[in-house]
Amino acid sequence: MIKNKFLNLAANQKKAFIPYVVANYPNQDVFTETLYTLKDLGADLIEVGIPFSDPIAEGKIIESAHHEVLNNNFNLVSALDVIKNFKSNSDIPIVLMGYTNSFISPSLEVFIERAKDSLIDGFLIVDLPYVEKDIYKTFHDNEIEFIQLIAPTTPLNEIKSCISNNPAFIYFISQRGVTGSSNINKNEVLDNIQAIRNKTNLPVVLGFGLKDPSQINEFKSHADGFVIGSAVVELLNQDNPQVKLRKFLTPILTAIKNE
Amino acid sequence: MNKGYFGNFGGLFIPETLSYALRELDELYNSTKDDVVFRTELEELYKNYVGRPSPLYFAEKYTTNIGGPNIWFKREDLNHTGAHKINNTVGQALLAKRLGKKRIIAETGAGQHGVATATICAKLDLDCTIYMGQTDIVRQELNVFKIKTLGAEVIPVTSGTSTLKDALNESIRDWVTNVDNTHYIIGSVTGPHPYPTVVRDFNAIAGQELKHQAKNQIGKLPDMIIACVGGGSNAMGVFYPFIDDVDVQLIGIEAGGKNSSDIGSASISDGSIGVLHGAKTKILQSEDGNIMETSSISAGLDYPGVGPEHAYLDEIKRAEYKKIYDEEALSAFYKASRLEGIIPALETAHALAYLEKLGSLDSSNDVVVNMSGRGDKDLYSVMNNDKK
Repeated sequence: MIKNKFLNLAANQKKAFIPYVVANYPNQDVFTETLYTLKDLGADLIEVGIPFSDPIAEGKIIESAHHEVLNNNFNLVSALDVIKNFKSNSDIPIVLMGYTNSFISPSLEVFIERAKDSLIDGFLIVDLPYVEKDIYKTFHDNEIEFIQLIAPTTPLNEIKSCISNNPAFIYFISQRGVTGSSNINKNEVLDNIQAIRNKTNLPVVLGFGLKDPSQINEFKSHADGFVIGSAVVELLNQDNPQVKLRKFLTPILTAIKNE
Repeated sequence: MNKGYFGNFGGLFIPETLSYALRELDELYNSTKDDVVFRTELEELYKNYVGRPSPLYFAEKYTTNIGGPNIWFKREDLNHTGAHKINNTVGQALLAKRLGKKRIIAETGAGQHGVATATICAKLDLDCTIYMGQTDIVRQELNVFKIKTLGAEVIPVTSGTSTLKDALNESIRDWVTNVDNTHYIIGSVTGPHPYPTVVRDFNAIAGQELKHQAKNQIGKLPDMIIACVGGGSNAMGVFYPFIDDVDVQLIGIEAGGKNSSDIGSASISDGSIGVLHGAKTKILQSEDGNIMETSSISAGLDYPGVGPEHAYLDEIKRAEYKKIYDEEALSAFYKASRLEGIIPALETAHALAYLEKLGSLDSSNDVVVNMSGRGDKDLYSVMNNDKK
């Protein structure tokens, strides 16, 4: 599903718009409405963060969102129900993003079963290294696609190993830092994306700290898609979140989608 | 089996941005640990700066009082900065210099690791930033002042539970951002590979000395070694050289909190398998995998995980792990002070409290308690607890 999505986008010479939201943030109603707003705006894939007590790769905005949802008695099953419902009205691939411990609790098998039942398409596990081959094999066996992170610190001679588990696409982390940081070195990003292109034909998506159209324009001819996370999450606990979301994302979408 | 595992435990569950730094540390450590120049430098610091070897002390009055086995203390509390923590920070700071990294970050719970890190950074001219939970800053005020006196910066952490685990989270976030010029000195045998191995090896100096001292002073190896376990670095250090000596019983003491209905922080006794701070190990967690808020009178044991090698020693039954509650630790704190004139850290007091539960051992047996730290830092909180 995810791989096909990128094939279709490539065939039409389009780039992917990938928003990130936190499950049930700031509450289940807004989470539900947000999925439909994102569909309406033309999201190509939606990343749904699973709230975790210790989200070590997140900046303050997403960390606070995780903690707020957990403090409000987060229930994974109810969040998955929202997604299942959404999937009956939409063919947008949904990727669950989070930390290893959420995916192996109460067990990897039970988690996968729940995800499959909710029509989840893929996983992005921030702290799961490619060397954990058995876990990645379990994803393949269950037809769950996954996404491989590559960082600016990943040595070029490691890229082949990183993608050896056959991910759906590569998510290149734009900078050293947590989500929402502003530490992007444009030339380094361009060099890295080119280095990845030299090794693989997998789609390469860019994320971490992207929040305005000018950044999209800088990287548009190099990346296959863009993840917008912290900047989206920040709007969701404000008044009239759907209005603000549309206002904020419309110029970004224009930048991503226009020729 | 993947690299960095102890049986089913360990690994390197970290964001990809850090994987290169961990590999670099692993490679440097392997090529350096037996290097003559490095060993000489480390041993010189251990001897003349830390004050090693630490004595093996026969606790005569404690022995009489218990009325069973002979009780010995391995005096890590006499190390410079007052705990075992300096064994690791000295070693890692030397590694950081070899990595060409001029900036050091560390997390601290009780403050001992923060003090030990700030100390060696002052000596070796390294920039030092310490992350500490706001709750711990309040209960370990003296150590906060010590760290600042030593020229390091203390950054309060107010997210999550504002304790050690959150300080670790913030340290990792700092490291992800500044990985090119920064070395992260993890303070326990926790975290991603190679930290559990590196920290164990630097702490193993205590176990190596003990082996030698026991042969000279007792005439044999001890029958039992008792050490407290939070993350578990003092215990791993004193256990490790004895792992193949199967007649030596290894007992790790976890903090049970207030009583048996309290959540406590006994990750091996009460926890289940999960992934926290880079390692697969035993952790205290909810059904959906979120990390629980732990409790203990001892800030240094108040952590919802444990070093993966301890989880492994528990699984293969080479070491046993027991719980001691706050009140039991407090009475041991006073007992050691009054019988031996040694005020132990509250962490160490948990290990001492287990001496009351030895049962069948008699005067032909010798039991060593690893005195991981001294109690100066805890006087304030014990004083406040007594007022309640």
